[in-house]
Amino acid sequence: MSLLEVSHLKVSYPTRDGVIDVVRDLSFELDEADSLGIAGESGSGKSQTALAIMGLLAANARVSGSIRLDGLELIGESERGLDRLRGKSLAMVFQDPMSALNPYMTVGRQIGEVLELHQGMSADEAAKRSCELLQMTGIDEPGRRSKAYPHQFSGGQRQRILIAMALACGPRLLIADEPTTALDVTVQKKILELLRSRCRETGTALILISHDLAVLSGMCRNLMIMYGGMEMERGPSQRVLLHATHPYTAALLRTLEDLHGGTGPLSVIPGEPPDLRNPPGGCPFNPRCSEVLTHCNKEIPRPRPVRRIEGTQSHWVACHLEPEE
Amino acid sequence: MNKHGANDTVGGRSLWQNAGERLRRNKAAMFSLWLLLFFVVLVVAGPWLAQHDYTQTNLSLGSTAPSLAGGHWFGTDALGRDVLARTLAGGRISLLVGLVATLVSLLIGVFWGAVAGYCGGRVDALMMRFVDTLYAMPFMFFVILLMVVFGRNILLIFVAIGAINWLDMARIVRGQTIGLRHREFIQAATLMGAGTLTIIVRHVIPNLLGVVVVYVTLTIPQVMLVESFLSYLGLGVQEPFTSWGALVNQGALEMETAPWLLVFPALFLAGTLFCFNFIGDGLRDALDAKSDEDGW
Amino acid sequence: MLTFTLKRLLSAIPTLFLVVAATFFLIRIAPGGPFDSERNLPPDIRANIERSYHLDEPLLQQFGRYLKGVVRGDFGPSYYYRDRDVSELIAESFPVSFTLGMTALLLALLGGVTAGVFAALRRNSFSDHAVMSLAMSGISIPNFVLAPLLVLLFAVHLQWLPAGGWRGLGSVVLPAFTLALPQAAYIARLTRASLLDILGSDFLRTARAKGLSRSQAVWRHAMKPTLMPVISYLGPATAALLTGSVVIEQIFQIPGLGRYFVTGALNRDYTLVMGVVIFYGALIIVMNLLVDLLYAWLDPRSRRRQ
Repeated sequence: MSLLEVSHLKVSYPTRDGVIDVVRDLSFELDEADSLGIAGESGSGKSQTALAIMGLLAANARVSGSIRLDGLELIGESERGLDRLRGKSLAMVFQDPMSALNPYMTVGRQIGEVLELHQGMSADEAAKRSCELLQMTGIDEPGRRSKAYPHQFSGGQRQRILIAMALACGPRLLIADEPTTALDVTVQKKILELLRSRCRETGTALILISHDLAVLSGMCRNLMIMYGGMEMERGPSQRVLLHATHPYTAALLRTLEDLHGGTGPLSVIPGEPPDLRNPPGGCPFNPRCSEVLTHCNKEIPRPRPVRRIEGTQSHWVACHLEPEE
Repeated sequence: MNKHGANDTVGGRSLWQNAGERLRRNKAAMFSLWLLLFFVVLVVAGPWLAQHDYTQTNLSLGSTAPSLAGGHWFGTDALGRDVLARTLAGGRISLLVGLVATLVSLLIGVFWGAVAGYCGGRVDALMMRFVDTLYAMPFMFFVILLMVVFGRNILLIFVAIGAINWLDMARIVRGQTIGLRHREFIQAATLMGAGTLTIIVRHVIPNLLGVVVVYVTLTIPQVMLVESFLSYLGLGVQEPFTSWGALVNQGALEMETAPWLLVFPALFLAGTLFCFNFIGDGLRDALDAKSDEDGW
Repeated sequence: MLTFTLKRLLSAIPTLFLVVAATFFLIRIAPGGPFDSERNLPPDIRANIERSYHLDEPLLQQFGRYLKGVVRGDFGPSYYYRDRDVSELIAESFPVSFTLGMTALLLALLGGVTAGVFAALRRNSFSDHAVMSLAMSGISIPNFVLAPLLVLLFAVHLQWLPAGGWRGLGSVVLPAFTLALPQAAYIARLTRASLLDILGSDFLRTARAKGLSRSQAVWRHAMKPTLMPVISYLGPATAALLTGSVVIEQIFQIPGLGRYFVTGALNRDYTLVMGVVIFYGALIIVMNLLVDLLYAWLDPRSRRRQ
């Protein structure tokens, strides 16, 4: 049994303009201590998936399908049950470190809070442990710094604090939603490295979400490409990147290559992200696909396995194109 | 259902259209808007509607209760004057003071704030220092002083009350101007060589409109309240003019014997204030693009 | 913190000076003198009296004399209450106004914050709309309309509370409540807006992601930030209460400073009026200073780096 099993997840919102489906029939698994990168443009549904797993969707969200953590069904679980899981077995780090910490509370206390809540520590014990955790995430002079307030730290440091806080109780799963997007380029790599090493130390599975394939390629063992609320391709990172099967993945990789070299004009994926109020029929990518077939806008392609190679996990793609054998 | 393909562009809605739609959905605000309109029409059309002149005394009819048959729908006061006519006449003054005084504070405040915000630096610091200094002054007391000292001149009332409120307007406008100053289109206009005054008039002010409209709608009731306050203390408009505050003052004195003297002007006053406040609130919510899906 | 306090105190001085000067010159410029209402005063006696009050001196000299007095706390003799000093009158009546004002402020804070939090946590529900409509009424109904109605109900019909005067604990209730209501209403709206704003902030989301329940997250993380704007409002609230007290003291016949002010204004008791304005002005300045200090103390971002 995998650590996390998501099957046929659907998230939609009723609005004045009709029902908007932000996640449409998503399924994937993640093993213990493994890592998965979710890539996609904004609007692809990746953040909504993360929030659905955490149970932190907006009050008017409609969720269906199944999300199992260690066999426990999360959809439909009571608020109190979810509260017990969050911070302890499930943790999340959000995109903007500048506003994610309470400006009126010391950093040490904010970390200590998780410890007191889930591990029953006393205030003193929690304070001590907070210092240790700060040290482990690269904050110097943790004893003194834990009594400081968030505004006294830089963006990168705040993200370290948030990571320390998220991993404080050694959760089974950590979801990081664009954790470095708001940071300086020089700091990004360090934070990603920190994320990887700390997760390895605590045996925490990691889901890393980003719109930037370059960020994901070095970090995660598995990769899932999302578009228009659905998965396009999914599998071990090496396989997906080296043998990209879906036209969207291939197009994304082309834009990456151009950024890192080449002298021709930058390749661009023509068209615009789908309007979720009136999504295209069939495959959501079909209006922009360079290899579109006639029935692509009528039938939604179901994920099917790409040819297996022994010893590796399955590589799935949701596309009508038959692979060239 | 899917009438539009992915390549059709969905018609964009301007900020004002969005706001207008949101406002229309706000039932309390819309109701208040219509009610206010009703009040205003009544008050303005008063002289032609009321059967009696509001200054006409008729001692034989002193303090009669309201009756439809008797022709005095709101009753009469001790001097036999028709309460309906007086209420409508008082409304004219109260609303007039509200509008004019708000206009005064608007003009001073917008000018002060826009200049301070746009110029920045020492000019800004100095101008806002002045505002801060004035903030701590107990203005109401000064207005009372002014009324006592210079007599109850209606023009003075306009200016004095207007001068109380401009401080908030100045601060808000300054804040908005500073925000706007750094926005791209202002920089673009500067690059194109537009002069400072042109920029202020053509770019800064239209963008302030939203905030200003909300503020004006919320200032009018405050100003009306101040005026009624003064009238209550006997320092407001002089006879033959009357205002809702003055009428309430007189009415309160005879509350137990002739309650209609208090009730009708009070209803009109409170009702109008209510309406303005609800509309102002509605406008503020409509123009503030915050969604209501926070998961709480 | 100390430099901050000193700086604020220093910047308060020009304001106070402005208040004193404005009041003084305003009154002096006015047409008519303080003794115009005295009938049958032979001209030479009037001249004598005016001389004893230094009214014959050049204006600036009078101002200088007055200023010196103010610094010492001496506001001169009352023109109306001939054998009393203004400072005496203030000392006598201010404790009454203070009691009334403080009670009202506490009521407004407690009532307003509770109502605001209650409404915000039940956003868009019936309770929310009900509470906010009540708050709107509180702001829209002038206190001189509400007061007589409350007196009619509680004092005349139910006979639970006295209709006026200042004897015993019961006589604080109605005036304090009437005085507090508009402020409570405003504070309720302010609190609700502030809390709603905080509820949408990122750090609340982090708190929930940590496993805090909804109420835990609100109490531990949202309350303090929510109350900051309310604290800022205490300064203007005090000013508004002082203003409102003028009318309330009239209606309920309370022997406070506000009532002296009105009587003084109507009787052209210049020194009394000036004294009250300056006193209230100083009070508002001090209150604003205290509020600023409190705010700075509570806001970690304003403290010096450790």
